[in-house]
Amino acid sequence: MDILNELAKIANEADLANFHKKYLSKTGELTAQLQNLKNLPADQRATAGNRINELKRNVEREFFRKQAVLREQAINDQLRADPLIDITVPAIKEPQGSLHPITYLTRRVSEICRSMGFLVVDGNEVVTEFENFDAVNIPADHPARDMQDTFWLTNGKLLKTQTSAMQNAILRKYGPVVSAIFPGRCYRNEATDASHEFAFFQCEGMMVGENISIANLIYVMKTILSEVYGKEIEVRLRPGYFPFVEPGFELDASCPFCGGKGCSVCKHSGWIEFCGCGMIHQNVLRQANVDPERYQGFAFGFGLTRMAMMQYAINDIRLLNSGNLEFLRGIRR
Amino acid sequence: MKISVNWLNDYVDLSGITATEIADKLTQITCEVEEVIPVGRDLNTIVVGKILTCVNHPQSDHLHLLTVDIGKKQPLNIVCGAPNARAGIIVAVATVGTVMPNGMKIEAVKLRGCDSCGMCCSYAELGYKEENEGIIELPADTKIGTPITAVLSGLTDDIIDIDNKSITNRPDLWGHYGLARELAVIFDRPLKSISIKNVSAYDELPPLNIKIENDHCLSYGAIKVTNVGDCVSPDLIQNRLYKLGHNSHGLLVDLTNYVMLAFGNPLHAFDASKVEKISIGTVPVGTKFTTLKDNQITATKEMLFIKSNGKPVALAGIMGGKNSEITPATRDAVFEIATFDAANVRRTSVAVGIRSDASMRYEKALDPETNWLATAELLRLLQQYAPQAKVVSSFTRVVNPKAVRSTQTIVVPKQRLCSFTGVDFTNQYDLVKRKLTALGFQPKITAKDITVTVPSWRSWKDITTPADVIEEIIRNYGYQNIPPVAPTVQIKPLPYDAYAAAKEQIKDALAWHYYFNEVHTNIWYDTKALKNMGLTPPSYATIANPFNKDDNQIRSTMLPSMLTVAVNNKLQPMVRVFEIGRVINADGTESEHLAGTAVCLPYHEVARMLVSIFDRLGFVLEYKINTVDNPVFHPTNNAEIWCNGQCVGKIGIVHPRVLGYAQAVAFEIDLSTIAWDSVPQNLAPVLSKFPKTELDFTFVWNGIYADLAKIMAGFNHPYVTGQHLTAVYENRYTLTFTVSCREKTLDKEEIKQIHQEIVDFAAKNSVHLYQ
Repeated sequence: MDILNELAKIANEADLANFHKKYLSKTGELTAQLQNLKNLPADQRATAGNRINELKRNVEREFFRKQAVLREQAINDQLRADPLIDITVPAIKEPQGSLHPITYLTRRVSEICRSMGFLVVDGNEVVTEFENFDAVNIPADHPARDMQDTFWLTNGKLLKTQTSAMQNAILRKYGPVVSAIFPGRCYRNEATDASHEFAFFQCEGMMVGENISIANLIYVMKTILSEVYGKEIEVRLRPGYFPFVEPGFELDASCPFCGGKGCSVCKHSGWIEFCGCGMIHQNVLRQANVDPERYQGFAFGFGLTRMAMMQYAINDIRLLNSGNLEFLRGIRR
Repeated sequence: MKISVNWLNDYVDLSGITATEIADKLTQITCEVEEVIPVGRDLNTIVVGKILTCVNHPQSDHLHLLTVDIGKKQPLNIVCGAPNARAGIIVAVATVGTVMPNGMKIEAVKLRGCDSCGMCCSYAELGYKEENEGIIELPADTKIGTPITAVLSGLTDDIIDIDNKSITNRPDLWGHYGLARELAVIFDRPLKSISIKNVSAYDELPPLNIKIENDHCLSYGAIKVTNVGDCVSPDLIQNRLYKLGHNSHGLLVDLTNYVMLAFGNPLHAFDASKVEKISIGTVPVGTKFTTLKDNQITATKEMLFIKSNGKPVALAGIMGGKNSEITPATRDAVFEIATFDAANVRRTSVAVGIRSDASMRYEKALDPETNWLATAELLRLLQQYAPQAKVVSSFTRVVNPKAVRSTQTIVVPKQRLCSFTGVDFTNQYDLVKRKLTALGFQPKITAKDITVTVPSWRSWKDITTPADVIEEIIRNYGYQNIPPVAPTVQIKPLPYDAYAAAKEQIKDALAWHYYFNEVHTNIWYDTKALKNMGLTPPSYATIANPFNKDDNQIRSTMLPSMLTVAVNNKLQPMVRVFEIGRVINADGTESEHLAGTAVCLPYHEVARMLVSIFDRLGFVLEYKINTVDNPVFHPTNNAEIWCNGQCVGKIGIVHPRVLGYAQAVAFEIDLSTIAWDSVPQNLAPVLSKFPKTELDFTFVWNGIYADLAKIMAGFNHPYVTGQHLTAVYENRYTLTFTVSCREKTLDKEEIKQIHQEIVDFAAKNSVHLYQ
């Protein structure tokens, strides 16, 4: 019973470990006594064995009980000793990277269009006069070709003024049956202010086949817009004039920001003038060696920059190309 | 372009239809209406009155004290400053409470001590016509107390403002008559027939001498009228012109404007004493010409003039000349009704910087046939408002053979109409026929086809193909009636675009893993920024017409753009920026580059970052000593970036002259040179059954790492399967050797021995362990 008394007095884990070593380990006293049994006379072995085993069981039981108590005590001591963490100290954000707002929107639009089978094609910023104008039915005497809003290069090429400049190459490469969108940077030579900038992004799209119709155009635009804004968007067509389409339309979308009730984005009309579109002009098809008697299709082009300005409530277009990090870091998705 | 609803009613009865409805329908079917402006509303408190007495105001040298009878028991006391105010005249009185068209509210006030309970109005104050001397004087028999709106017809109106851009393709819509035709179709109401005075009535009179010398003149007609000196336009004409933004310049000029606004065909009136032998052509380059608005013009070889005896009297299609304009002294006039080549008018208009009502219309390609209608209407109005006028020449009209058109017919198969629109028109062909007929297309509809004859006013550039005719049908059918229909197409996989995917991965890694901000910059160098940074990078393409004259160089490298952004953001806490953008190369081709700069980031961290990003994409980047001086970089601390055996870019510490405020690293990689499709197959690592051990050695080395690496690469041992650099600090290089054996677990002694062999090998080559 002395052993149990000794155990009862132990008050910390280190003493307990020593106790275990002294009595219960391979080299401990109780283990030794059990090993010594074989040296006893045969008639005493059974009695002694029973006594020692019972003692060992009792000691072990008490040992484990004590061990649990002391562990619990030690944990509680530890918790009391742990320094207090001041969770009211704000977690300061890590330094932040960001992508350009146009990148976020281009990705969104591209993903939606790819999911509907549209190729996403990239193109040059410097293009030929043919690509930008002649190929899309803007003949030499058309006002759009005037010096004042095109940046011309001295080598006769120009900075593309519209993503339509890529129509011809895409029709030639992938056509005549093709569905594609082609986002890209365009340039216009005009005075800059809060709503005008030399460089801006457009996203053009087209779909050509044997039976592609205006009804298809309405469906595709409605679907793309509904997916982009994550809600049902209504679209309506109005007559509009663009040389590369016939008939041409202005497409209005029900305002995604107020649901058509009227807000500052839609100038309280419930509708946003979203893009120009139409059935591809037969001259555009012909310029790309596509037979307009057999194939027809639609094209549309909307402003990614304008979409970004609406999406993020940006009030000055010039911020987008300013490289202002305070501005860019604030737009993160 | 502004349109008066009152005026439209001359040509189509729009009664019962509001201006807003008209505007909405036009926008849906024809062209974009920007605004509907109600005119002369809420003017019922302005009534006809008679000035009973008029005395001078005791405190003023120009005000009068009036008593005015407006049909009430008591006459009103009104203080009035008009010079023509006098007893006995019939006037328009705005009573207390009236809000004038300019927003002014009429109140009972004291003016210099005298009561004034109303205002006698001028025409301009009512928004009726241009200001002329003083207050309105109405006919003596006008009934006192009548609301003025019942007396001045045209005071109440609605002005519809149409977006000019939306009718660039519709020369026929540049006058009221054309829009009335559209509205007649839209609302299914008849277009009123115009009583055209037969111009041939003057055929017996002597012709004028007219000669077209240049193909840019398509048709030129003129007629001479005498005894039309100094006529004033009637109120109806002045009012209509005024509401649409034209002041009155006397009957002759007003009529030309009026007919233009009615039918879209610009006219010009010359003083007949200043024009004789008319010819249309060019004048010697350098000839000076002054327009009637005093613009000084120097002729070029492109500019088309109307000439009298060879001397210019008008800039064709744009504006008349000072030397032949109508003046108060004019007695006889010659009216011009012509058409010119649209592109020529537009080019000249741009060149001289004059955009007139005439040039705006001519540049849309007007139908020469409109000349007849315009002439007839002009003569009708002249006879009505200047009955003393005498026509003294025939309407002499010379037509360029280029302007003669044969009638066009266009066949639209019904099947095409349905497939193009996605609408089934079965049972709708009555509607199609009715609308096309009203538009003037004389449709013939058979079992398979719709055949139309294009009316002359739509035949110039406007309607030339079946698609144009389909537009006429479908817009009048109603775009809102087209159902959305999902296209049926053959499904096929989209080709995988490895390059596009790689670009997005690069962007994501830089932004979300390395805290870079993506920026957008212009494709041209910012010359001022270059100067500040002391850089003159090469440029292989030049903008002919830059916005800022110095910013005309297209970039061949994006580093200056990135560094400019870094300079502009020097107050920001952390500057790490990148862009994937475009440059023009020495051979004129265009490439896509990745460029960036990181302020206060060590060279090796940026180098490691790029290697890691490209490793993930399947490409091995290496850095090689650069021997070509690049002024952007520190003279020695920069390198070439290599990939797949070719140099693809550069990286280095930015030269302190370029970015003064902090140390920075910049890099640029030509993404167009990388073979994105040739990523090697990624095989799984073969794992050994036995453990491998990594041994670290920190050596002291005072040369460049490449030499150390070369030496240590010479160490060979069957169980050493690899070695790589894991850390560098000053002249200390930590190399990690991987030790493993495929047949057994190496014991401590064996590993210890390998360790010793490595140390000995290094020492033999004068590479010593850091102690």
